[in-house]
Amino acid sequence: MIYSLGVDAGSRYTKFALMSGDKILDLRMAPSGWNTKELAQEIADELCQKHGISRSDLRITATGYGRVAVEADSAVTEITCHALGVHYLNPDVRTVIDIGGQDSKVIVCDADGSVVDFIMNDKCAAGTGKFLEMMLETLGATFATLDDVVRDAVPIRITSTCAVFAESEVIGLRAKGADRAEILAGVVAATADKAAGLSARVRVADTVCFSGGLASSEAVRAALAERLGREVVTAPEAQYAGAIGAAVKGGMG
Amino acid sequence: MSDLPSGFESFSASRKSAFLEVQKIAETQPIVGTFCTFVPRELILAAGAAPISLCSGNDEVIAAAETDLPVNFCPLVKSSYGFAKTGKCPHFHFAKLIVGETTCDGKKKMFEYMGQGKPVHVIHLPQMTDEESVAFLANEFRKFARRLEEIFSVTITDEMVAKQISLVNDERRALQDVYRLAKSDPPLLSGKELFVMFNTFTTSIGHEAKLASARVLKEQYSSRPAGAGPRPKRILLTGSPITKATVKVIDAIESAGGSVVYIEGCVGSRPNELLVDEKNPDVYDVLARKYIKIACSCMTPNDGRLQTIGEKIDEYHVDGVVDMGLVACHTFNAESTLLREYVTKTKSTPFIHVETDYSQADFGQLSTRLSAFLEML
Repeated sequence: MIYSLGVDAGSRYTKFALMSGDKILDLRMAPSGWNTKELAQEIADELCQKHGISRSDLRITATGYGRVAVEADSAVTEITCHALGVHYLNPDVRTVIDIGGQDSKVIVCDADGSVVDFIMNDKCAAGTGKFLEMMLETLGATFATLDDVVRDAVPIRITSTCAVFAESEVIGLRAKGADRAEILAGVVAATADKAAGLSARVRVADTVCFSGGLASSEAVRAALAERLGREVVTAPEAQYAGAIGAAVKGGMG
Repeated sequence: MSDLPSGFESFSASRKSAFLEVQKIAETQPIVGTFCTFVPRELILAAGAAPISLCSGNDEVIAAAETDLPVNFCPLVKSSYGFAKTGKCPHFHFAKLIVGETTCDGKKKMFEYMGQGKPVHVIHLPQMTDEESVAFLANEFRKFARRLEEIFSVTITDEMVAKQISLVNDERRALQDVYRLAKSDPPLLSGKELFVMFNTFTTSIGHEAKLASARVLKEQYSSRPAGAGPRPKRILLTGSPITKATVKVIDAIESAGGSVVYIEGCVGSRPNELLVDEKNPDVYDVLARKYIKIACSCMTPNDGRLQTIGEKIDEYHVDGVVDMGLVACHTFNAESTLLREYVTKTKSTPFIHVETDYSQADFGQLSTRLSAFLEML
């Protein structure tokens, strides 16, 4: 029996999806740290032990920012993997919006989960997970409590999406005594604006699925749906979409 | 050695040897430095001078350029100017005349600064391709010929120009013979090899030498065994000029298993597809008619580029089009939307636009994007 392990080595977290055929056996997540190669080996061993799999029966497919660092049988880009992963989770989806640690992307796929078109942010961090993380830190808030803090808050418009300039802007707003919840709501809106702006450059089709590190925030999802003027769904496993897609891809060959 | 630049001793061995090589040429023939494929080499050759492309394509001199030019200029202009300013370009150093052209606003201003240290002649390029513009460009070429006569104390007759038209056409034919080998499936040569060939030709001197090296390349590539293994995805590369600093785009495509089979660029097929009409004796008119058809985004409209790309997609069995724009290269970046429409709708071929500069910092991102594009084909 051949098992497929997808390893999505992101800039902040590395995600693992262990599959057997089209069944997910296990999902794991760990901070990427500085040695992705070692981390991937460790978790692969652990998963093998837990599920009683011999290492020689495990096919590893790596994706994400650190895909070349991982010792894998093959490497596939996160664009292809996110499309396949989201397609696995929800076959009705034709557009994926993924906001990761340092990359945001909008992917349009067909009925088989194959990529038809995509767009990625340029090399700056505007609107990425890193941007949101920096703003949260500046305001002494955490991602885990973000949804609770911004609930019912009227967003203050943040005019800059450059991570560095937005930080000065947020500090300026704080100095003027603006409400923290309202500033944070503004940061959420700015993040959604940036992703919606990116998606305006491809043909967004039918159901949109929100994946990546920020997908677990209901506030970001709702802001995105509002900007796009269409339904945006997500899945509990959305953060693992890249890893699941890699495992699916590995299981194909 | 007195005519070497003051910083010569501090140069690397390869740069020193490049200087000595160009110095040797400069002893027998005046060098005219050019930046752009719109400059008619035929006239420079008719004046007995050697046209040679000046240095660009490197980010080591960009900081020096930014002391005079805005930081948010395109890297090609900043690099060209930086080389001139720092004295690190042998071709610039030995050039008796620099020929500019009004292809973009950045270059126009750059030539004003350059003119402070060297004789610079700027060819006023029209921005449309109608009959009035052809006549205007023909007149600009006549003015350029007069300037060459003045500087080099020669007389340029129509016969001399006609002779060079025929010789330069031969060079273009020789190049075509090599780059058209990439029509084979799988291609007989890689995009990297295509780039090296085009780049070498823009910085080399001598008609016979050019013909000979094209013959050698043709021999070498055409004798290769027909490729085995998986057929690479065939890519047409277009956009702003590819230089040594942006060859990373070709590297990213080819290391992901694609093959660039056609480079629709200034260091590429763009200036070499069309020949100058050798039958019509009005040499300035025929030169103007050929050069005005170079499908640069500085022209409006620039339908010729879409038409060429459409034809080459069919001729070279292209699977996908990669459009590389340099940061702040407004006209090419703006034209990308039109091109995307045409390539994806009319030609039903996948298309991607990437923007980059002369640093190597974005290689990871470029690589992800281009690999994903190839995975999509």
